[in-house]
Amino acid sequence: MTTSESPVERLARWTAADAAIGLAADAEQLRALLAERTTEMEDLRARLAQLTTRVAQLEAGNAELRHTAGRVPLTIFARRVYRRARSAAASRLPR
Amino acid sequence: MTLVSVIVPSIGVTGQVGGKQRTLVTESIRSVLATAQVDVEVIVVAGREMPADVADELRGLGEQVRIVEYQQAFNFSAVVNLGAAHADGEHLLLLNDDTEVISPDWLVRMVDACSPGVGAVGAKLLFEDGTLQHAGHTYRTAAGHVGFGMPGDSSGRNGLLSRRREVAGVTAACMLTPYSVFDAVGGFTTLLPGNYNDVDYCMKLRVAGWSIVYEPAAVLYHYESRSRVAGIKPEEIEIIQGRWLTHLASDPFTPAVV
Repeated sequence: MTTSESPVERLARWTAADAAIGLAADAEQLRALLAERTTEMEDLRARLAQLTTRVAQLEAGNAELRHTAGRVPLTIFARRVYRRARSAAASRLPR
Repeated sequence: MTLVSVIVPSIGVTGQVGGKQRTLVTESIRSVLATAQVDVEVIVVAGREMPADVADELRGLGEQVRIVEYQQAFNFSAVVNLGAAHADGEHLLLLNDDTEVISPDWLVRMVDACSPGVGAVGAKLLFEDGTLQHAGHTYRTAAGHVGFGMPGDSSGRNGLLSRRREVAGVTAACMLTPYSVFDAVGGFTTLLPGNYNDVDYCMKLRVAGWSIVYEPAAVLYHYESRSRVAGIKPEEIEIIQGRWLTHLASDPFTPAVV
């Protein structure tokens, strides 16, 4: 206890001490919030990278499907031509 | 011998206890003086609303009782700090004026619990009906009282309510703290005039390395209404969380179920 200090002086000193502690506490909380948000951003970036990879995989798969789908009508057309030709040839054969 | 400075903020209100009207602060201080087994000085920090006859009655309680006038708008922290600034004791005992001592050795027990490294000691506080109002604070999702509303003689899970133990914080309704500790952390923050000033004080102590202890052998009535609405303001929540959110989010001392 500082006996030479008046109550007013004590109160002033305590106000200053509390303000300093409060500012340090506020700063610590801001640093904690910053760290939390940084971690969240890193998580989101990792997730974004995973999603980007997945999108690329899906696009590649879609391209393959598109290619395959584009060939399907030609196959059907060729089959129809073949069947008509075979049918026509068959009708010319002696019975 | 240890001198304890009992600091009692008051405006001298009257209230009914046991069906009888009484001036709460006078009876509270009478019970302190009748049971203190250590040297005490009582500093009543009197708000401007205190009736003159109540002030006279307080002066008549003995030479250990002093009145310090507080003329500003109500700010519990400023009131406590003003009382502490006038104190001569090695320990400060912050005491609400609506309390009454039950256990005769309460103050000796609290001083005993205040060993080196301890920054504050709290008591067991009971409502008038004998149920538990306070057995230490717990900070988890919010600041609350451990065992609130349980029977006053309940031991709680693993004897949590009936043994001296470290807690997250204690209420300023009855809190013993060494003057040197109070001085080191700048007392109570005047940024919190109504609510959470004791929570803030306890957090300041814990972050600085002091522990907070609950002393169940120190038992007092606290005639605070059970249904009292705290009237917490958004800015109070902002301040307490702004300072201590990461520390308040967990309570290493008290399990969720008591």
